Amino acid sequence: MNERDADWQLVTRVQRGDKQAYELLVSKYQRRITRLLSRIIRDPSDIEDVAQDAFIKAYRALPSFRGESAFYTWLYRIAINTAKNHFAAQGRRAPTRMATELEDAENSEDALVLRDVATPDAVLLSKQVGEAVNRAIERLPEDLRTAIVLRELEGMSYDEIANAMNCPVGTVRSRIFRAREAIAAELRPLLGTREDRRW
Amino acid sequence: MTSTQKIAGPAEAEASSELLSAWLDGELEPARAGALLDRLKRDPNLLVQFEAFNVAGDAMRSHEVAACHAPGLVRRVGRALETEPTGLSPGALSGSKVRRHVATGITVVAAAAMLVVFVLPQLRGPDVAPQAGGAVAAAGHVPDKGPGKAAGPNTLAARSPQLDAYFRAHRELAATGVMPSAAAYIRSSGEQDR
Repeated sequence: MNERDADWQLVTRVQRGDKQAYELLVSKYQRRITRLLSRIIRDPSDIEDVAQDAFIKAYRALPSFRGESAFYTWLYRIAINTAKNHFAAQGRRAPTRMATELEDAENSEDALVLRDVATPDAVLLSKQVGEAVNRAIERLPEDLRTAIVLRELEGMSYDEIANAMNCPVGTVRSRIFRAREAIAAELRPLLGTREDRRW
Repeated sequence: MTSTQKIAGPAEAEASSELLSAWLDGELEPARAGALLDRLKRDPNLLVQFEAFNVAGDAMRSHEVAACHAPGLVRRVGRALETEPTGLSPGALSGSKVRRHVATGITVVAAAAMLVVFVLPQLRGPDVAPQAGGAVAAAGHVPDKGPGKAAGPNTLAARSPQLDAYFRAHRELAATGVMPSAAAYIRSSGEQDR
C-alpha cells in the first residue's frame, strides 16, 4: 500500500455513496487546488468559488474515475478546466500566454509556469508558515527530525527509513507521528485554528 | 456533536492518531485502514488530527501551498454536496459481481425453461402440445397423435383455444389458396411438426 492507495480507499468509499469520504479528499487537497487556482485567477474571492466548483465537478465525475491516474492528477485537470470555464463564463478569455500555458498545464503540473499573482497577505502568510515549519523542525529531537524529513521531503517508505535509521518500522511510525504533531501544533496559531476545532 | 460521534480516551486517541499518520503515508494494512476510516467518520477529534497532519505535510513540502489554507472551503463543499445526488460507480459494485453472475445464470435458465415449456409446444402445432391441456379439452378439441409422438412433460402446458383456432384458420386458408405462394412452406412446416 502507498499514499495513492490511501486516496483510492477514499475514492471507492465515495463511489459507494459515502459523501463524508469525499470531504476528507477535499480537506486533503483544498490547499493544493487553491494554490493552483491562485496562480491562474487574480481575484481572491473568485479563487475559492472556482475551487468549490472544481470539487463539486470532481464529485459528479467521480463515479467514472477508475484510478488510472493518481486522484490528485485527475482532480488537477478538472480544476484547470474549471478555471478555463470561469474565464469563458465571464465573457473573457485568459490572457494569451496564460491560455497557452493552461493548455500545457492540463497535461502536466510542471508545465504550469504562470506568474504568481499572490497578494501581499498571502506572501506574508507563506513566509510565516515557512518560518514556523523551520522552527518546529529545528526543535524536534534528531531522531524525529530525521524520520519526518526522510518521509516528507525524500518520500522514503517506512521500511526504507527503518533501514536507514537502523530501527524497527514501528519506531519509525511513532517518530513520524510525533514529528507531525509538533509541526501541526506550531502551525495552529498561524492558521487561526484551535486544537479542538477543525482547520 | 451527534450521538453517533464518539470521542476516544487519551491513550486510544493517540493510538488512532498514530494509525492515521501511518495511513496518510500509505503504510497501514488495508484491513486496519477500513476500521480507521470508519472511526474517522465518528470521531471529530480524529478528524481534526487528519486535517492537522495534512496541513503539516503541505507546509513541509511547500510554504505557499500551506498558506493557501481556506478554512471554510471544506464546509462549503460539504454543504453543496448535501443537495447533490449520490453517484454510485458501477465499478464500486464489483463486490456483488458473483451475485450478478448467479442472477444472470438463473435468468438464462428460466428463459430457456419458458421457451421449452410454453413456446416450443405452441410452435409445434395443436397435435403435440396440449396433451394434458385442460383448456383445450374444455374447448372440445381432441388432438390426434401422430405415430411416435408421445406426449412429453413439456406438453403439459395449457394452450389458449383462440390460438388453436388461429392455427386451424391458418391451415385452412393456406389450403384454399388465399396465400398460394406461402402454402407450400406452411404445409411443409406442418408436416415436419407431425
